[in-house]
Amino acid sequence: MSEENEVFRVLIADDVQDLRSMLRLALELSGRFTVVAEAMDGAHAVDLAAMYKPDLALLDLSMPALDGLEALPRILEASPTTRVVVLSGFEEARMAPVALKGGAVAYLEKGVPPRRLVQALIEIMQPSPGDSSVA
Amino acid sequence: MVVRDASDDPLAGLSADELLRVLGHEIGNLVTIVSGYGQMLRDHWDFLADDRRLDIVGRMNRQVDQLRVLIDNFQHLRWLTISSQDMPMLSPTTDVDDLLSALADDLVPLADDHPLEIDVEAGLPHVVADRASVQHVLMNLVVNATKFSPADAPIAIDVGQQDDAVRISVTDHGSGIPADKRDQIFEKFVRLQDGGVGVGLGLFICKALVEAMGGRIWADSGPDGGARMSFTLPVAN
Repeated sequence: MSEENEVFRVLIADDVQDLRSMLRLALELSGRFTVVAEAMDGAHAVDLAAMYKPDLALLDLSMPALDGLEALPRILEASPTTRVVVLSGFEEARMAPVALKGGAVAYLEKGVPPRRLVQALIEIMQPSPGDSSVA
Repeated sequence: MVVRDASDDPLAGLSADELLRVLGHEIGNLVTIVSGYGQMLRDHWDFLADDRRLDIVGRMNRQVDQLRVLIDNFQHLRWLTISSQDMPMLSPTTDVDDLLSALADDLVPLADDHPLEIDVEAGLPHVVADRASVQHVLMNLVVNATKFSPADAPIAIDVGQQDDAVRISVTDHGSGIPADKRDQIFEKFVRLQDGGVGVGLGLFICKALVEAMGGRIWADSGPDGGARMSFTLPVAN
């Protein structure tokens, strides 16, 4: 799936617009990601995943309409090839097992520095079908 | 003027745990954004054009301004829970034109890249008001307006007389507030969707402050369908 310098298409789902903007900039400055869609809630994320079939979805847990854990299986159903990474303010130890069980490939806490976030996402996007790990 | 006592506790039914959880979550988001931009500036400084650097610094400033309003809101929340004798002193001879001129310096930075258009009707009577409370209400309304306005769209503050009061309105050019949510937004912990960082306390506190000054606050639509938030201050006798 991956090749050197492949640019991955990303969906960002978070109800905080300023946070989405910051993540978009961090991802696009890396040159390895392009943000194809932003969702303000879980239901919107499911619709956009179906429409854009992104390579990667960054999914917040605390969102209106449909929260991240509810949206997660629906995103995977709408776009089975999308790798979903939960990016949340909740402590990893508390929520990561639930997110991974729900089909996320990784769980990251929101405070992670942009450079480390980008590195982690590049590693996650390397081809290893069926891999599930906490980054 | 509304006199409060212990039975008016605006936090009634709200656990300290919930309050701290919400506060921690929102401050966490703001710090994440500011910190993220700071690290991006450091990591990519040599590759970023000057205008891009300035754009990022502007975004950081806006988050810090929102943090200031958030902290102010919590300080006011504390004030609302204490007895009426500690309430701010109301001045019966406040000139709204002078007041708006003085507050403009604080409001313009909060409006960020949205031009702030202030229009005060000539010859308005003096009102009964607490300067700090009016300032806090306007800060919240302007920050809200920036969250829902398209980039660079102006935000209007217009002031005029309405019956026995002076009305101050803040109007944005966003998508407006659905009619069935216009009363609901003044309840605590109610957030307008996709409004950026916020805990849903700003308008709740604004309502309490305005009512404490003897006025009222409401939401409706501006001329082009954007949100218009208005409050009144009673004319001084």
